[in-house]
Amino acid sequence: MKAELEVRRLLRQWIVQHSKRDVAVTDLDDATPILESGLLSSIEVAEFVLYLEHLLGKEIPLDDLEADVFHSVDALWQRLFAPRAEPVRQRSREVRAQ
Amino acid sequence: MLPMNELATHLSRVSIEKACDLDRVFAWPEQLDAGRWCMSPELVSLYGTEVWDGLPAQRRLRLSFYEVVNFFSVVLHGERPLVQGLAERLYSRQSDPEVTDYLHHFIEEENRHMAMFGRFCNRYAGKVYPDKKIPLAQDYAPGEEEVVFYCKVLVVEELGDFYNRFMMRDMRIEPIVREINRVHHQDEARHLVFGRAHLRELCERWMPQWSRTTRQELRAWLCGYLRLCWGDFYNPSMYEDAGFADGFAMRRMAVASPAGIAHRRLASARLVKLLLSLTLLDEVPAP
Repeated sequence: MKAELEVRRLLRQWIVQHSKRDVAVTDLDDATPILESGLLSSIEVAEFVLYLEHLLGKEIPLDDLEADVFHSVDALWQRLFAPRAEPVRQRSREVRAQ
Repeated sequence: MLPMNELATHLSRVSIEKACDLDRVFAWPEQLDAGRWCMSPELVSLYGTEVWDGLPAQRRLRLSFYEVVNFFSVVLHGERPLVQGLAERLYSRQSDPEVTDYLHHFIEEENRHMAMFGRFCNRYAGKVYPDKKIPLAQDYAPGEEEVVFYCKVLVVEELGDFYNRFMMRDMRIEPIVREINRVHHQDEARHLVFGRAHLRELCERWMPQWSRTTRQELRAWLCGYLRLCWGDFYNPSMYEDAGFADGFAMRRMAVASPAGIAHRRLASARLVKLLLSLTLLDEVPAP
């Protein structure tokens, strides 16, 4: 698991790289509203979910995927990454029925 | 071209004739044959990449199994909001009674498809891959929400139908997979006729009333939505289940690969042609 500052930096970087808005990393802080300010739309959020799972190394349960999770980088950290965040389950590794 | 009410009456009649029962039509095997393809290899998302070329035969077959589970999961999740949306449109003041009658068949068939895909995925993989799309509230111009809804319907059905038409004729793949694709295509052919005609009518009714900005924003959304739907075919969990250590890296590689780009362009061609003719797109989007 990456350190908090590194995770926050990566999240801000992803948002800036994928936003349709003309925005620089320096324009964004951890409290900046991500959806309300239009930095990301539902189209980018779906890709963002996969990136979050990649950072976590785990699947995010569907119940945790509510719009308020994406309010800001602070909210993302608190809801998904912080040590007291609800545990997310390991990606299941099913074996093909033989 | 038939008026919508006559077209709906015709499609309802065919739906009644073609109605089928999942347990009677399909012979669900206890197990799948690990030595057969589950998805046609040419449709597997890594096909044509260096990774594919380096995979042993058994790994390719295993990947084709998870690819078809993912494909069925993607279509299932595409049909879920479709059924919700169609149900909301039943007995709408704006619909002809004949259209409402056909919507009943449409919903019934989509419900059966979801049961069919769900049964396959749960029976042989023990799961349906979850949908990661998060609905966000949005403001719409008059009629725009209706156009957006039927655009989503067509994207799901046109892309799915490309895969169905390919696999229903492929004698190399598991018979149950071939049969599911055949039955799905048979019903979807009617849904596509209805969806195309209805979307055309909606575009003619509403688009002249929209501002240039609304039309441009809708085109931008549609390009993004196409990209989003294609992204579902490159599911990191699917790659990891098939034995790849980093599913996210595999997704990025496959999406960016020349073979992947060429495949998406080919599979989207019929859909893009329709969207261009309706001026919902003004140029061919980047695949």
